[in-house]
Amino acid sequence: MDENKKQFSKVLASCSTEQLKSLAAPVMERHKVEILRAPAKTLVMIRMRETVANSDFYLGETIAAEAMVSVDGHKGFALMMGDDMEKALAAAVIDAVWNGNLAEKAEIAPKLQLAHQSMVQKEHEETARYAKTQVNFHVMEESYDNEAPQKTAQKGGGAQ
Amino acid sequence: MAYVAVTGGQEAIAASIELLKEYRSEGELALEISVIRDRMSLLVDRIMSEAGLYAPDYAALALKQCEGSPEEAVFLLRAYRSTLPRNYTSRTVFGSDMHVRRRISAAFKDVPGGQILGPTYDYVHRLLDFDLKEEDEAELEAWREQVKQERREELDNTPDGASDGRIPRVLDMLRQEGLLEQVEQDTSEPCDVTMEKLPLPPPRSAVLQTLSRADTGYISGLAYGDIRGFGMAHPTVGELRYGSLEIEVDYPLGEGESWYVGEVCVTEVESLVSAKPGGDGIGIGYGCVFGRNDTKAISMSILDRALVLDTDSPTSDAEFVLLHGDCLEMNGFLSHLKLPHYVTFQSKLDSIRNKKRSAEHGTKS
Repeated sequence: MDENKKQFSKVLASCSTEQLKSLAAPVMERHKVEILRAPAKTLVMIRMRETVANSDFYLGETIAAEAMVSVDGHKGFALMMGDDMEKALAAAVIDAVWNGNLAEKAEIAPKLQLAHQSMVQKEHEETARYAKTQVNFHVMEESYDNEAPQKTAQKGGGAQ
Repeated sequence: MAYVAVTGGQEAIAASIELLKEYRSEGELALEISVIRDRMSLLVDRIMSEAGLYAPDYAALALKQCEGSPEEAVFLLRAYRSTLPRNYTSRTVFGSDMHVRRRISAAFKDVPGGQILGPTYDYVHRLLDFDLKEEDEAELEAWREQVKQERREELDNTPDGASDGRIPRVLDMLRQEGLLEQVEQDTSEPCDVTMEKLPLPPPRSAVLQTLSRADTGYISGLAYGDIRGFGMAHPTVGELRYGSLEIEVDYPLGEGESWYVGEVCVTEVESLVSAKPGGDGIGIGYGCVFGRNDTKAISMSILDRALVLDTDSPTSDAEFVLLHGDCLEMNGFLSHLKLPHYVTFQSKLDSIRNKKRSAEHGTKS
């Protein structure tokens, strides 16, 4: 589970609150954890690119829970859509573990690896929900424009 | 006649509010917020879109609080939103990165990635299903589980697994051929109509933000009027796609890195229309709205194009189109008509009485 920060944060988001709390709890017991930014709700404005003039516009906002902590001097951050403060705090602690390369990383990494696999499986299942609604077109009539007249066509009954 | 200060009414107002609670809680069954969120999702989508706030749980809560009134629910979300700080703006999101759940084109039969109907009411019979009156939750749950299981088995038999749902845009085919009108790129910082008054003439960013959060009925009606004869010719939906977009922000503790915040579902449309009124060439109208709302996204694309074309049509009048479609503003203004206008109305009556008296006096003399 040593991929980039986006992938790491996506896996954290896919975990349940209880999962993240159980991963963060030993860290909070063993290390000095300071709350740098108390868990709180914030708006996130979504900036979107449109395709006519390739310009950006603001699509709208969403609500997210943010937190920032320091674990033995190593900072950790989390911003998660929704209003789950406990989850954001736990995620920030785990992020600090990664940033500080603390010993607990070895304990947590395999569990996040499993969470990653589960997340990918769910993504595949989600995409598969729509696969069957793909349209298969069947051409019902053929054109005979470039062929010699058929027997039926000579009688005036062929499809044109 | 002088202004007269009046008091009283507080008790009646309190009783009225209590009556609302009674109305809201009629019947014997409790209304769970999660039920509104999960099973009234199109209504929730509409509320989020018109509020300009993607928060399904809060939209469901708002609907519960106001007996399902869209205008009240939008008001509640907008009011709540105004109490929160905005500490982040996302990195720019691209519709081409969408995990697609629905994607159709009315312009081309064969498109890269195929036509995916997704969940749509386009092909259902509009007949009341009386079986739903007796729907059994246990049976429903069993059916859902069976469907999931079958899908898992199909997935297991797919050698490469499923795709991530990302498919190329339909109109990229025309862009590569150079067949689409080139609109001058707008590289300016977007205008934010939630922070400043809508400038007139509006920059493109303000037009799109305003249309995206407009009342669904309002922009649908305007778009219908436009294509029915008051505006441009019949547009063709080049592509309509619905799906989820990943939202990221800059990671504050590491330069160049991004942090995943979550996903929002949107409907995005590119409509094909004339490049000029009655002229040749192909232009595009763009629409993108929160949630699953084909009609609103198509309507937005039509109005976007109408405003670019700048014709004599009312739908090309930016002030008319953009200043009258905000759910909160229009319903708020119409609602104010119910508030006491005792003084102004009495004054009007006085004026009429005076005129009548003068007229009578004139007749007698």
